Amino acid sequence: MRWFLDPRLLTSLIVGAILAVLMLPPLVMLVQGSVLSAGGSPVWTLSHFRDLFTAHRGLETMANSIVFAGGSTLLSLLIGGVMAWLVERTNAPLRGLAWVATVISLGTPYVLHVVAWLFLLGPVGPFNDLYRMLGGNGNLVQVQSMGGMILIEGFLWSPLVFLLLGATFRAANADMEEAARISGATVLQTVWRISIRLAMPAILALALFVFIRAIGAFEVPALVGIPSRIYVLTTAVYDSMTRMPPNLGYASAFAVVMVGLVSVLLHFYSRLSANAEKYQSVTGKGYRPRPFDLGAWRWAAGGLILLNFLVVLVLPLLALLWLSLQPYSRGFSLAGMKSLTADNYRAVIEAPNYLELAANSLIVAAGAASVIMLLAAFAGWIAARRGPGGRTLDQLAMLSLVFPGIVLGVAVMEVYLRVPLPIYGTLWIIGIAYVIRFMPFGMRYVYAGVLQLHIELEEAAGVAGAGYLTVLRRIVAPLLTPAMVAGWLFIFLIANKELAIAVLLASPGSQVAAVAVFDLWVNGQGGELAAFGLLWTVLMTGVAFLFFFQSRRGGTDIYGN
Amino acid sequence: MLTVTGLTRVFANNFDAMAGGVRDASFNLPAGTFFTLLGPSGCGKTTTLRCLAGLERPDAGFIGLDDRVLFDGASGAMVPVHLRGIGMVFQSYAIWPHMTVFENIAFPLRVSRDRSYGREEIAGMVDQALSTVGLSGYGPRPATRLSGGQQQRVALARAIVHQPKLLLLDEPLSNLDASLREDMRIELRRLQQQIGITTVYVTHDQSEALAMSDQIAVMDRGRIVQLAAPRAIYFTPANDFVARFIGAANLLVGTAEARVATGGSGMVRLVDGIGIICVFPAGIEAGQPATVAIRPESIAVAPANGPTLAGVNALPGILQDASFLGATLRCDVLAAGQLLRAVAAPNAAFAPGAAVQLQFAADAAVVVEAA
Repeated sequence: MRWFLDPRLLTSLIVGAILAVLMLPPLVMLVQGSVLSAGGSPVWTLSHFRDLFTAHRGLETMANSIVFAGGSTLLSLLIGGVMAWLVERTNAPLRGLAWVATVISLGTPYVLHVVAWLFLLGPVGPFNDLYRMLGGNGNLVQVQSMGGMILIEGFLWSPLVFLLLGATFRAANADMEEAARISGATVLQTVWRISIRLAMPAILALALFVFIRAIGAFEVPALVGIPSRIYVLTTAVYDSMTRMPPNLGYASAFAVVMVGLVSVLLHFYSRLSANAEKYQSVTGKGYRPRPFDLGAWRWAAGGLILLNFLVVLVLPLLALLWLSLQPYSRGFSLAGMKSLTADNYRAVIEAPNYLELAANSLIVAAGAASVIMLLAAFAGWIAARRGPGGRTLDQLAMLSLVFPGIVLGVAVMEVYLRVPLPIYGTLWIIGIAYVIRFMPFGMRYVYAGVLQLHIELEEAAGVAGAGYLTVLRRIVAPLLTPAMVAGWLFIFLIANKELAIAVLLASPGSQVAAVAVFDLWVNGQGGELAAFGLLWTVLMTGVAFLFFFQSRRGGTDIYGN
Repeated sequence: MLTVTGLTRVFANNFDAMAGGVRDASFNLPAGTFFTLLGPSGCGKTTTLRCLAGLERPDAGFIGLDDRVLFDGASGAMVPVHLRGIGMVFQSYAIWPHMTVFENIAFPLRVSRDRSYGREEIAGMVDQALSTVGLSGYGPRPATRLSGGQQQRVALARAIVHQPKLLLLDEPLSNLDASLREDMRIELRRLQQQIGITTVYVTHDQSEALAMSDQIAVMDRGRIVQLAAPRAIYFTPANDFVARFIGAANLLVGTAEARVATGGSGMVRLVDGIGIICVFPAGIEAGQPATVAIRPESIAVAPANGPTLAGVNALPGILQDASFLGATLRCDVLAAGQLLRAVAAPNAAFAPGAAVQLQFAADAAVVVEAA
């Protein structure tokens, strides 16, 4: 058989070529854009990087990014970690509430959360209202500040921390804790000297992961930071892209700095998480974790869970509900009860552009998720089974992890402005950006799914006479279905949740939901924003519940990274 | 007829561990042979089996089945796994959970490239295979609702449904509980005889190997160290490794008193000066070191002051420990400067510390090569 007819090699080549065409150009263009001067005949220059530190206060921006990411990481670890431990390892009441909050927050666009918190902590919000009622002057909380940014970002990430740390605590072997209890340790001593120590590698890895995501976060820095002129790397990129005229050179230079920073952090992350796996003491079948009995403290713990539920979920949703029922933005008050109106909902439902917007978002997200899962099915299988070129496929598919959303937006824009394809300004370019951005997620789901399949299931099919692609079609694909469905739903949710990728790529004719919410906020249409956002959240929460149901049934882990 | 010559597959050496794999394995199996690859884990027996299946590409050697060349290292020719037409039962059984029992067994027929099978033909052949393994009527069951023993039978039915010329079994009994394992051992052998298929069986359990095989290849660190019928393996182990592995033999070290011809008997002087009469399957020169293997069940434990019999070796010793195992009494005796194990009748009454003598016939003491 000649080599190009070997189905193994041929499959790897085709999948590899598609991945390379998708993944490599954005990185190349970005680097190129950062070292080429603007104008008709570009020349090589390092002036963009030099300008970062002179004209653009690059050091201050970087310092802001690090303070912002570090602060919000600590806050979300504290909230999410305590919740995860209480829910997974104790007999505290009301544990189900933490799950409800997580599922719903997975369905809510980040930008909507931010809008709600801006209102809650803002000058007319209930906290400052209450302060003035108690005799204070001015505002107690200044939300347009670094502190406000960290607070809101911390709230945004705590559900994900809860989810991922919960998996760690669930997998922990209760025997180790019981051995400590038998040896005479109290609950607190056991938690401090055994549980936390065992979970420490996982906690550190997660902390670094959240930090990386917070470096690339866009929603909070844009909505909270820009009005108060606190710039971080992502908003600096956005700013130089949206000012007139756009400055691609500075944006690329900032973006390259960010990609470099994220790459270094990712390197340490992969080492940390490999270390974390060594600590995992997962046991076999029929294993049930046994929770700690908190005794009388369990009601205090339940109160903490309830408080988290109220703060992270109920309060923002309530704020949005209030805003959506008011003709203009006003604080919670009895007077406001008289001006309640359904006008905003009527406007949203009757205006055709909202329906079109929703349809656009769903189609792009579903299309991207489908393309990703199809490509990942091949690439993930080949990589997990160490097929020809498996490592290269894996690295190609994972490449976009180094791109924060806003950076990918810039890079994809640069690529498709130059490629003679008429997709700039259409939904296609958003779809392509989604595929690039979320390919690593699809890869994780497939890869982990394949590793759960005993390799002898495939070898048995081979011995029985099935060729390479027949094994994939008849054995691997059907057995991988639960993981594939979970991956598809996750990508669908995340794509609809994030603002950063699409914000630079969407145009008036090709809007998606998260960008529309952002625009409504910028235009000051708070009422319609809240009404549309709530309806959208209800829809996405339905999908999120499907996702959790599927993950549980299929026994797949949840991958946030 | 399965022909294997110079089969070599060595795995890259990671860290400082011994490289795994198989080196220079050769054997010829007439049709219908039940052949067992026996050895401890890491000895290369599974690698050999996977090379036969086509799941592993050998570095060198030759594999031929009847007149087909499956692998030839000289020309680089290799038939890929799915075109070999071999049946195989995996250690995990590898029953596909998304298919019924029927679909599992029908799979080799459905994907066959030699010829296409009609619907009725498939149904007939699957039913035949099911009844061969004693699972008639189980076809419509979901594969996930089977016990371990039933899964094993389904895996076997799937391996034989397309009437292959060669059946490969990778430790198929190791996942079953002890009593079921005994039953399946007998059943598997009966089945193999009934359909007369050449079978290569991999196991680390010497009693399985002895009970089922026509031929056994004992493997150690990638090489076949002895290839013989079960009785020959048991009674005349080729070296001390085989003697130990095949069943807890006592090994005594000494020197030969005089030259002995191949297959003759002669005296070995042990380190503490006592001489014992042994069989020399390979012959020896005077003054050469010799390792003597004696099986525990060949050694009788007698009182120290009892009579010695002519032609029977006797070693004085002190009983260290006696464990009552029901059918036997297992004795550990300090004799000739080391602990020797003997199996006495269960009603023998010896207390630890008692002086005893160990008696064994000359033909029970076999001189083996030191590996």
